Amino acid sequence: MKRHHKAAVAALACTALVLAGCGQGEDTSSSSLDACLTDPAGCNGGERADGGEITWALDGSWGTWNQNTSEGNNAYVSMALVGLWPFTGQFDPNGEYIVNEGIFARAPELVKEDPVTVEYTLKTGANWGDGTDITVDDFIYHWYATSGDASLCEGCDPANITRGSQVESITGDGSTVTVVYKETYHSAEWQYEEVLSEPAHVAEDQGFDWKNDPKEMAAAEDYFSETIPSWSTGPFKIADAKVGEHVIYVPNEDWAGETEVTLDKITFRVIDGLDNITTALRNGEIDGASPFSVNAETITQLQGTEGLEYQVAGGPSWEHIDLNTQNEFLSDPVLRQAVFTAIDVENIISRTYAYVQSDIERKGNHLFRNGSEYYTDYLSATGQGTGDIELAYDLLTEAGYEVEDGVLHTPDGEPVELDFRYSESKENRRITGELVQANLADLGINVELKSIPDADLGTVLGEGDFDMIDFGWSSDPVFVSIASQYWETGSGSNFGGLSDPALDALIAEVNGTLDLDEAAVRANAAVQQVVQDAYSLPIVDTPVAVMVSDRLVNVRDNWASQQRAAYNIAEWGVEGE
Amino acid sequence: MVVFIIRRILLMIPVLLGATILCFVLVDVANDPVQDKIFEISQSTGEPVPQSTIDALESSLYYDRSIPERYWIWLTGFGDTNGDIGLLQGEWGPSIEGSAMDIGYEVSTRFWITLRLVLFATLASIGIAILAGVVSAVKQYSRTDYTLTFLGFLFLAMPIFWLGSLFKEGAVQLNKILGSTVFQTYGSGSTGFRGNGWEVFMDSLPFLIVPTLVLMLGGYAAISRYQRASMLEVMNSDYVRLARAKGVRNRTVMRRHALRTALIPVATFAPLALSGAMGGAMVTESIFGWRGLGVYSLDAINAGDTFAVMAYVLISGVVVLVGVLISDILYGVLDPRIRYE
Amino acid sequence: MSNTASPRLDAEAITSKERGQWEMVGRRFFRHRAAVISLVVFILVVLFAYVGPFLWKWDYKIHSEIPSWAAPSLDHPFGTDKAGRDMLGAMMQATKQSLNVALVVAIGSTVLGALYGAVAGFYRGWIDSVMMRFLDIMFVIPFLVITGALAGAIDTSVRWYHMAFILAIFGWTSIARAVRAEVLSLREKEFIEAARSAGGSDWHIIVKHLIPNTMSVIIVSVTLQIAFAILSETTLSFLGLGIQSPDTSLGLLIEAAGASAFNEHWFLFYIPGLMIILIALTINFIGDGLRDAMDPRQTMVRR
Repeated sequence: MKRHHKAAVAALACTALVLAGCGQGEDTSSSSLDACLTDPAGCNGGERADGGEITWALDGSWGTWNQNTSEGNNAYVSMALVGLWPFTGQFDPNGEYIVNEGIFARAPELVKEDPVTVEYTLKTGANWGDGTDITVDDFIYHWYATSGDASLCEGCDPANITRGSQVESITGDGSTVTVVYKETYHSAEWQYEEVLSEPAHVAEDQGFDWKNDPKEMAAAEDYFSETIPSWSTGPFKIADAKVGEHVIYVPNEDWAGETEVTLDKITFRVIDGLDNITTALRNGEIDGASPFSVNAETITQLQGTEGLEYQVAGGPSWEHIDLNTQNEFLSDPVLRQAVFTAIDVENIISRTYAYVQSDIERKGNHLFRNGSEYYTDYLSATGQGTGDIELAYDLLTEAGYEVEDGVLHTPDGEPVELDFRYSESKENRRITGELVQANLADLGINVELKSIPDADLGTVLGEGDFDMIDFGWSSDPVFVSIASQYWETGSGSNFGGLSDPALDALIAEVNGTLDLDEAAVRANAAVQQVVQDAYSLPIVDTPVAVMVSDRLVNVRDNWASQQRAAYNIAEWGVEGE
Repeated sequence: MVVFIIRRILLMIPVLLGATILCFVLVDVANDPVQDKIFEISQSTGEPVPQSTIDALESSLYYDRSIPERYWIWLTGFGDTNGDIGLLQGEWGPSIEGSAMDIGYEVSTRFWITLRLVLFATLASIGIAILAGVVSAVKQYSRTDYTLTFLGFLFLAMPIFWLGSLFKEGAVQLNKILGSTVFQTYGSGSTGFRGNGWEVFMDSLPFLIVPTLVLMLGGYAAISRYQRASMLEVMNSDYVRLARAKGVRNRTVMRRHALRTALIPVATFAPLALSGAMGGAMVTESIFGWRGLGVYSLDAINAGDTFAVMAYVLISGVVVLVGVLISDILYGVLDPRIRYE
Repeated sequence: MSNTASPRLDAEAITSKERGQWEMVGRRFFRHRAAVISLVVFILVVLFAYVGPFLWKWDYKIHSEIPSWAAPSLDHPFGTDKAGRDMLGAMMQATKQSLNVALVVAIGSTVLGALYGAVAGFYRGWIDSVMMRFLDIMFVIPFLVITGALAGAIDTSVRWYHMAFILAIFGWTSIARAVRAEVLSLREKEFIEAARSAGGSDWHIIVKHLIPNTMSVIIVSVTLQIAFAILSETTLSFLGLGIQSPDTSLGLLIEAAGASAFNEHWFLFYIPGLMIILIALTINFIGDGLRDAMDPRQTMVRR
């Protein structure tokens, strides 16, 4: 059933995306992973040979093929399907957004602000890899699937309905698709919204009347969950796959993108455990991996092996210590302030994350990464995280706290005791706990370390069963809805139960503008307020590593993409002669 | 004989039921995978999870029912279900991992992967054990006997996971010396490889050698002790002495009389060893990345995936019981003193 | 010890002096050379784990003055790990925790199993049938799966006593079978009849008469349980289903060493592994020696 028409395969080997690393192959400064420090989006570039095969390891598995559903909300299925998924676009390692060249002719445009109306222009020839073009129906399908509205899709379980529930209508006219949002929609990140997922015509071919019957719609979603995609909107299509184990890609001849694909075959295979991945890489069974964790032992192993390159940098999540504002002691902002002041973050970093990433920096802003254009450090000035015991002590004595027999007592005369919780398998979080324990002992606060079984972190957070807790949040460049998720009164992920009306007001304003720069300014105001509340203390962006055979070209890590190193899979190649 | 077998098979049913009930309760009480999943989603999307999604997730995994009710529909499939559950109807229930992960399909394909690993290892370990046991017995109290006995004890004391890690790393070093990837360290065959039985076998050889060796060394010690003892018993028996006294050549006595009788206990032990090794393969599988049953159960435990754990409990239970049954039958067939009515 | 290991001329049959049963067992045991050596080594291991920490200058915790990844030297005979932990100190603690588990499991599961087996064998009839069916059920349940699932259910991190409890709960079945078999034959003996006619309660007969007379079976199984517990505990910890930080165990140390068997951190891998082997090996030899010593049918005593 596959139509082999010559889609616009342009002769251009490089797009704007890779100019830095491609087309200037002689520039040795960018031809290795070491260059990623100065040239994040162009490092490890070089001439690609025609042909070649790459085997890439994924460090976890998946149980569904449909990313719309809650089960499909899994970083590994999103990596496994990176070769074919209809993304709106990808953030590159510089945090810049690149629209999907295989689907859209240009970036989406905001044609009307009230209600928000966005116009998408499809590329001529953008198709599903089976001879059918992408149409407005596909946009509508995605909307229904993620609407959370039983009159559109009954029995669906979308992972997230923030955008889908806000769509008013979608209309199409040839290659132009217009999405009209409801009055309540004000996200400054309208241009990043995902608008496509599964092919509507495949659902129809399977006999699902998804447009008119919400139950059929849910059935179509189930069908896609269980079926290996035979379609592709990306540079590759699946030749063979087994759920949770492997995906083998061959080039998709019908792809409408311009980047030249050189590889003959890419195999994604699941290898559980960092040790196993490193061993397989050293043994030549795989060509690379960008696992979600890295430890010092791995680095030693990689250093001792010829023919391998690796690079460690801040990854897609960040570590932080949260305080439970519902706790009898920590409900007092002064104590929270003092606790954060007494914690020596630099010392924590030097004894944990610095072992794997020598140039690691303390994180200074909850929403924006160090080095981002919107980044401002609001933390250092407050003294939080400095480990300044005297400052912390002064704060406390001013508020009426007293130290008796080396134990801190509240103004009411109660001794202060706290627990510190962390996931048991995370060594760095345990060491962080031990160091916090030592810091707070200097203040006269007795801290009990209580670890959490890995599977129970969600339960512990949800029940607020902690005084202090160290865990990670994901840190992609999208920020608009994050502040309300983390800190708004009553939010399901405001685990420490913070309730600050001033902060709530600031958060509401972040959502009230369509201008990204303005939204960032407002988001930073919220960060400033949360710092004053002494609620959450960022530590670092968790280091992760990309490790590759040195014959690979254009393979580099990307913290800003959920697909990590596979974000630019079309450009992947093996070294030319 | 047939009556005996049927009676034994019928007796298995209450035992299996009891085992599944006990496991179901313990595993189910211990976990709340729906809540974990919801937390995971909210953490990765950075947005609250809609209540309708939570409800849909709970009802699709049957977590909106009580534990006894869940066990009942897992077993029978009677009642209000989505048609994906009920052992009696050939359905194994939904997996937490996702709807594309069919538990029945997973366990049936993984069963053969584990069997392939365990079969070779057990056969090899029995072969070596018989050899070592016989040599030990014939040369009782010699230096050879002591050395073999000591080696047996050594392997008995060696944790399989340690031996596995050692051999795996050793294989990598050997590859380095040889300059090519002779031994693979992860997986049971080339990714996505397809072919007929022989081709699949040839493809799997580089993956098979090291883990088989590990399992074999782990299994051989117990059997060789067994073989030595039974060989000694036979050699001291009257009829062997008589044969010797009549002047039959030593070699002939050993081969035709002693060994043949002394093999009976080991032969009856073999099915037990095989079924035991299927359970013990968990560690080897997880070190060498074999996607077998053992690793499946391990992942299922970690994820709190009750129905998947139950599938493993049921299959391994059947394997063990069948192993015991075959062992008993073999005993009757091989040992003329025992008769089943 | 040397005075008990009597010269071989002093064989039992020749001496006229009357000896108690346990004295004979002791004599036979001390003639089993491998068992005696093993006993000495095992005692040394126990001292290493329980007394060692009082003598050695470093504990098992991280200290900022300890360099990371130092090779074995006089200061750190077993080297140090990445975080700056003296491995000799860590080994003492890990061995202690693993031994704690092993000893508690050995005693706990033996008491449980012996009582269970004695009760089943003593009452026979339907009580015995029901109890034996339950044993069948326990036999069918995959051991690593059920213990792993239970360890995962503990909602703080798993400590050694959790692990010991779980392993004991599921590790007693083989002892129960062995004791039951013994009791089945013992209960027909005259001294049990005598105790019964003298008005002894069932409980009294079981605890005072039956169990003491199965002591030889029980003692051997205690030793085998130690080896079994050490291996299961370390295996579970290695698989991530057992003891968790901040507690430690030999299995965790090996797991942390990862694939370093052939690189410059080799000591992190081999030392804990050898310790497990040493414990399990010596225990097996001791058990072997005890079995030989207590089995009256055993005519030939190995040198």
